[in-house]
Amino acid sequence: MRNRKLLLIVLIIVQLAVPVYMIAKYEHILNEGKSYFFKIAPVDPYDPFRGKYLTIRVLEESITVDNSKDYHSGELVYLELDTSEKFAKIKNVYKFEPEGSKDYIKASVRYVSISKLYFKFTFDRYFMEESKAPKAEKIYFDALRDTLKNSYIEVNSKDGDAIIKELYISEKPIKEYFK
Amino acid sequence: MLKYLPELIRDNVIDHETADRITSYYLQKRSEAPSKFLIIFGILGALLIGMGVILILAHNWDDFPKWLRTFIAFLPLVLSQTASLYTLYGKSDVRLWREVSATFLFLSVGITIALISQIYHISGELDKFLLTWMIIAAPIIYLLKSSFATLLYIAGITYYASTVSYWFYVSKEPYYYWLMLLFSFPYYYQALKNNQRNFIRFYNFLTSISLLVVFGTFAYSLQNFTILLYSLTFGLMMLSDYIPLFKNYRSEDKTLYSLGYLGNFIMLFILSFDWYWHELYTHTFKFNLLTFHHPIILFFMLFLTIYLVYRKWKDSSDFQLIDLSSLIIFILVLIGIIKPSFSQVLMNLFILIISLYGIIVGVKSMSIATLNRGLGIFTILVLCRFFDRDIPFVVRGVVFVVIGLGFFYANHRIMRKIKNEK
Repeated sequence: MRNRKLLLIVLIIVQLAVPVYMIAKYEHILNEGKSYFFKIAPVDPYDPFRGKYLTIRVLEESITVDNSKDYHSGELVYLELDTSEKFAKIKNVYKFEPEGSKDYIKASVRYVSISKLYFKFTFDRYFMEESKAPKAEKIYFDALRDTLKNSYIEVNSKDGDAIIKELYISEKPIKEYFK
Repeated sequence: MLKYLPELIRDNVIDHETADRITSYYLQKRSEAPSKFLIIFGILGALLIGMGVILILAHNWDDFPKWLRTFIAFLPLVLSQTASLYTLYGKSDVRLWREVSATFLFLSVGITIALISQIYHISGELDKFLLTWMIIAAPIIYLLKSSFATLLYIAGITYYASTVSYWFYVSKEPYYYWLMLLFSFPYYYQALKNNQRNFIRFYNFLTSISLLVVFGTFAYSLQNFTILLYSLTFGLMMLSDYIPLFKNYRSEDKTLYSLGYLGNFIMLFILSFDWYWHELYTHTFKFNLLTFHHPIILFFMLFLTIYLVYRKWKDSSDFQLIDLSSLIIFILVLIGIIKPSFSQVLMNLFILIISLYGIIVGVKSMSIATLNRGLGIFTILVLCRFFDRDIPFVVRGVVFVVIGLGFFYANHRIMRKIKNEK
């Protein structure tokens, strides 16, 4: 019995440690990570707001390769980024962590075609309050249909782990629309 | 029952002593009943509160600052941990407390992780999330000795296994599933020893379903042999009464048996069509090291089934042909690798024998239920064969009329027999 009490306390500490570790990791990425901007593309008009998040589709989501057969969908890859302009582009794809390169993020292969690889990013959702869904949807659509308006996400990445920092619709953070 | 006791004593069916024993037995049962209901409602309450919290918080709370959202995310976890500690320190002998706080804690672990993911816009992979949740929730089963947490756990690891293997590329194996399933066995064994009937019943049922779900993920490596796993699982569900461990649980509850019976019944009919045999001939299974455990599991189940069939045949007066179905299916599939059409004919023959046997036994023992079951199987068999053979409509019509008349005639004869006996 005493052992069980002790073990329960240990378990409780472990259970608390998991979310605490998650928070620490994400905060570390947000504070120490390097930030990149990705342009976003219009999403399937059918249902961009699923339950409680906006679906984010990155415009630059594929790369042309000549050995697409070596990849299969679901595989973890490292994408080297070209950051010469404001918006990041995919420069190269690696199966292992690229050495010497500072600008890379982890992603997974979503789909393999004959000459192209399409990727699934770790930042494909932006959670929002349910009550804001209809309005957010409308703003999102109108802005994304108009290619002249810049809509993009700011992503922070540390050691390849990337998370969304902010979603910009026509150059304004989405939160601004709800003030 | 208690109502009839005076009458039974009056007619010298039982003596006073036996009547007293029966009375005290039922009165004790009655006193146990309310606590059972309390536990059920307690668990339901914990489930509802858990779900409610999920819904309220999932509503999202954009206007709160991040620190406050994080604080709220931890609330359910901390509350349920406090409740669990209180239970273990003060109420460890009260089952209601143990079950309710374990259920609440089990759910809270998942809620908190999910909410933190939401705060940081992590889409995350569902399988990793479920795996983390199940691993850090699993010990609750033993520390709080909770049956319901065990059942939640089985459901959770099943969900995990299917997210790993079903909708992604197929070379991923849910290895952890097997380890995690093993982790629940000691609790289950304890429950068997303590005779916790309800839990054993639910656990058997849920684990059978879980195995059926996970065996679907073997389909990539075992190809058409996957059907053997299904039929063996159904067979074991039917024969589970004869596993020595379940000696004390025999024939109380027929749910598992009926489900296995129905499953194997469907298997037999699926295999009576020619498409399966045609497929079997063209696709062989791919053996690779990643999936070496698939054939091992298959053969383990086969030997267990052979043993149980033997046990039932020796011990039971109620041995039926359909109890053999998973073994027959196994043998016929092996033959089918070389001679598929021959196997298909034998399969149809086996179903025919089952149905005729049912009809004969029904007539002999004057059991209308057995007779009509045999006739029913026969009718389904005829129907199935009409689907894959081009038989003129007139012939079909005549066959059905004849079968229908046969139904009436057989039932009529039994009715008359029963009347004459009276």
